[in-house]
Amino acid sequence: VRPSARTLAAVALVAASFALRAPGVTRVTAFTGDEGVHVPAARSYATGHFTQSTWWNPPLGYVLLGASMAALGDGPLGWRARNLALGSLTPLLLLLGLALFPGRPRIAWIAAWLLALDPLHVLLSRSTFEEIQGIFFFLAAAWLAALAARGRATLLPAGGALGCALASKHYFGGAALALVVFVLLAHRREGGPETAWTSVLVSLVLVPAAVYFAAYLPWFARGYGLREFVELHLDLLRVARSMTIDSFANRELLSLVERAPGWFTRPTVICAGLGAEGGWGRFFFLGKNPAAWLLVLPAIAVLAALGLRRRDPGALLVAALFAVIYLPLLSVGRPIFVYSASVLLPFGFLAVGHGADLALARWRAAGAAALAAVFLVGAYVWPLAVGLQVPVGLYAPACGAQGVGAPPAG
Amino acid sequence: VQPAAAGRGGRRAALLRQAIAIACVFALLAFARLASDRGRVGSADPAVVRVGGGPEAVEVWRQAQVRGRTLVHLSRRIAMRAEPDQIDPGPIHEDNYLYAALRENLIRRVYHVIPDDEWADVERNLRDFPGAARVRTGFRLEMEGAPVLVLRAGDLPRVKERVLVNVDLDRWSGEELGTVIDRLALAGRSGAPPADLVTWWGSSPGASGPGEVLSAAVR
Repeated sequence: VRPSARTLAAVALVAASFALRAPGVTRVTAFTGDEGVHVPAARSYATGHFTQSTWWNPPLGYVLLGASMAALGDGPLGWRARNLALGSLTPLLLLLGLALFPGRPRIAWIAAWLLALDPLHVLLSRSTFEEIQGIFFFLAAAWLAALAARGRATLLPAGGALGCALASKHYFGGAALALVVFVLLAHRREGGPETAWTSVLVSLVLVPAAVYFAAYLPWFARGYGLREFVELHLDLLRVARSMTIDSFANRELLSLVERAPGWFTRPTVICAGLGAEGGWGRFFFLGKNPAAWLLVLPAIAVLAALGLRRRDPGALLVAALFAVIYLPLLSVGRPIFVYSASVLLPFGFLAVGHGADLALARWRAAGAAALAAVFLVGAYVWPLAVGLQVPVGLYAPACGAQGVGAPPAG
Repeated sequence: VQPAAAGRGGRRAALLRQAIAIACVFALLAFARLASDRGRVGSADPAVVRVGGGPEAVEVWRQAQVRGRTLVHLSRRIAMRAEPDQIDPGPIHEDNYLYAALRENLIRRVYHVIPDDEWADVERNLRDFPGAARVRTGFRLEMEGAPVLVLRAGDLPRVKERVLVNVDLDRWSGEELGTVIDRLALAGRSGAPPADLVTWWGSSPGASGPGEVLSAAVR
């Protein structure tokens, strides 16, 4: 049987996502980003010792990081392989979000390629941040739940994936609730045993809670009990509220990193020269594809408005997922840095894809030109995200104008 | 297209999956309880041990092979200078020995009992500390996720498990110690001694006097 063109295109997407993330991933042999925190935490879990300074995060990220280190060694490859693999597969999961927009495949394709090329998602996929793992599992859960809403027996694995997302980072509580509502509404429309309320309760509430709980078994093995489990979560809520920028060891750098209100309204990036020779240089780039990111909020507004008018459950789910993840990040007391924006990008980019689909249908040439411009900006900043040598002259304007560090004289 | 799982067969399959999932959840809860119980290891030989200082108390706990314990720490100082993100927190000394004990999972939870005459000082310090939450009996803090409750002897709650006790004896009178031991004994179940290992240091001579009071905790 010959694979279909769509299958080949999906394989190409995964291959391209990997190729966009892998170059030089082990070049830096010391800790980068938060690896200096995450790797010791993974070692601690592996040895049954204490959870270190990341105790407020759920453990699954460190458990999987430890598994990666056990398989590939306690070195750059073992540290980064988990995110490299999951980050390369995430655009594919977004593509599978086609199930949410039946008959309009262009939306998911645009979103998937935007994510594949996004400099923040690329950067985090080359490190140990838990966001990559969390959003991977959540998209898997959303895809499986969307299939269940169309009658497939996929709700239980959806619950498993949802539990893995919850056990990776505390972003997805409200989003889990949105999935539950989505599936229950589908049951009201379509019926079927898979989406009956008992099935939803077990699969999308009980099972995720159990997976989350199971991730803490090493913690229980340290002597803690069920009551202390509740206390731990009250403590982490309290600490999250009381944290300030001074609570972080690398506060000087973090004070420059963009906070939640500015992620989708300002084109700010951090770009610092790492050295140059003969007109070519390397940069540290913590940034975004500004053309795509600045479209996110208007696109979400359009998606939500049209979703409401047309009673389109897929559109409403995407807008709701974006809102229920973003609003708590805007309102929580502690500073939330731009890394967290990576869990919003899939939904933001689906909305941009939806907007692009509308534009292409109405103004074909202009819409195509605008979309091409968005991808071109992404392609322009991508080499910075993977630390490739680039012509300093070509990138000095962008980095010099918006970065914190001027590129070195080349 | 109607779902493949529709109809009576589909309903039965869905119910079966749900039943299995629920059974797994209960098994998981039971397993967590078992893991928790097995994670608390007491001393085979209950004893009151005089040590030269806090770091030696850690050595006593190690030798007794205790694990995952609640510590009642009677001292003015907490000895929790942290070395986060280092697998080896370095040498143990007077400023960090309880932190080291947490890291090694010798202890998992600390009641830090403050002498009454020093409480006002501690209260003033903790009131302005952002990581400390005021609770009914004192203050609640965490050290890398491990709960630390700072309180006065009279506010010590009923601890429903045998504890380790660690005493800087120079800070406490025999009478105050008696209060602590009495409160611990109140919480002991079915007459079992409230502590299995008591470590203490200070300039008080011998085991008569304060040592005698402390030995009541393990009897």
